[in-house]
Amino acid sequence: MASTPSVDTVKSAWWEPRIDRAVLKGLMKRSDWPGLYFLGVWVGLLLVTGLAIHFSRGTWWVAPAVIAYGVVLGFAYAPSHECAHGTAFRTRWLNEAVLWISSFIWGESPTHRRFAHSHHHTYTWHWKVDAQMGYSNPVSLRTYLGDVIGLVEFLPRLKLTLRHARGRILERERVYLPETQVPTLVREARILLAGYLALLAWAVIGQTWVPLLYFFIPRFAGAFGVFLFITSQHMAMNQNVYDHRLNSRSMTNSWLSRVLYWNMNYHIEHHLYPSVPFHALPALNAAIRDQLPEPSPSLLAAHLEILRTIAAQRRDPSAFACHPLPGAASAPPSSGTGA
Amino acid sequence: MWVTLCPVDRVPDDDVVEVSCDGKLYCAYRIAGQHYVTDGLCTHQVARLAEGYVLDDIIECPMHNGRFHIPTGRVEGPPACEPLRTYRVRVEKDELEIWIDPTSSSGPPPLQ
Repeated sequence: MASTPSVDTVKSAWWEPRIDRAVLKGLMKRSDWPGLYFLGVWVGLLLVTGLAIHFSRGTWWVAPAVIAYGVVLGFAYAPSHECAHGTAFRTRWLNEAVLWISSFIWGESPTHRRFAHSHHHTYTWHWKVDAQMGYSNPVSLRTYLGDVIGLVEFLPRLKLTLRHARGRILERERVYLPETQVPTLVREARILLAGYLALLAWAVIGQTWVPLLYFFIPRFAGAFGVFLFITSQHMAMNQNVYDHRLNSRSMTNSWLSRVLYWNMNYHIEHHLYPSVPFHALPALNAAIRDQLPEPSPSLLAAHLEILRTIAAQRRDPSAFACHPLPGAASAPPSSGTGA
Repeated sequence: MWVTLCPVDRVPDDDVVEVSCDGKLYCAYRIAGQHYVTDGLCTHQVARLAEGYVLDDIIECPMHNGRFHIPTGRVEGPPACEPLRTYRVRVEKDELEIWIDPTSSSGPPPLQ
């Protein structure tokens, strides 16, 4: 009887930190309260910026108000992501309810979100394998700008939802989507579209700007806010490697950013242990910090690093952003542009 | 036939331990004082469930957070779709035993 037999799992190939099993188990504990707190801040900011829209209607101030509200609204990405993992709340129905609402705002069906993202965790930043890897090195400035603005995401996602609503699943989607889930996916895509159409119908039949001012226009106008964060997760990092420290980017963020982004600035840590909920990621970071590269000191620093790497890739297409690994045993990759 | 898995005191309260037996991998649990045994690998993709999280009577896969009901193996959350195999258990002389049908070829795949 062997206690630790050898078995090839989907995690086997990946680098893993040294961490006490009991500590890790403790970090995996679930709670409703941190999620309700983060959600409360988000909803509060939506109310404040929503009131700003209300009181600035008829003036030019409505434009910055809509953008500010849209930036906050775009962070629906964060609870949608955490709820797709099922780790946001201890209470299951609460997790599913928030997943539905936030995914509706985000614009992706819960089932597609879950399965495509699971694939992303198995094959993180492996080109032509990872279902959520939209570009590879070398990254062009056009790709960077398109991704940061976020607008390029909407049309493909709308097409995807329309296609799913018609029951059409592509071969590359079947790689991560089991046949048994297809009816659920189709039903969810139809519900999503019905919801968007209902909002549009409300605007047209009710002769009101409300759905446009509080949903559609701000989702477009403020999309750049969350995409600045999403772009920082993997862009211009190393690819096709089995070490999340090399293909993912963690960064230091302000309190407000961390709350809106549900701590996904601890992105390496999240990829290392997806079972550790968002609220325990700072503690996970503290437990394994000595084995991780230095995080980017800010969102701005992360983007400057991306832009430096894009410039370096014009001279050397094999260049990528590199945060040196701690310890002599952790050899740095063969190429990189430095942190 | 009844097969001995491990000493019963190896199984933690309200948690999981991985046990290998005859070249196969199992998870042994003690939930609210009751013993349970399931296959050791997730049915979604190959991942060791013992590295996952036990929440009441649910085991959550460490890789993609697929969930299974420990007593029945029923799927409780995606991306898991196929149920987890469970085993009849008994405690004999402080050893945890599971019932394996010798005529059945099902069960966890042999380890490589």
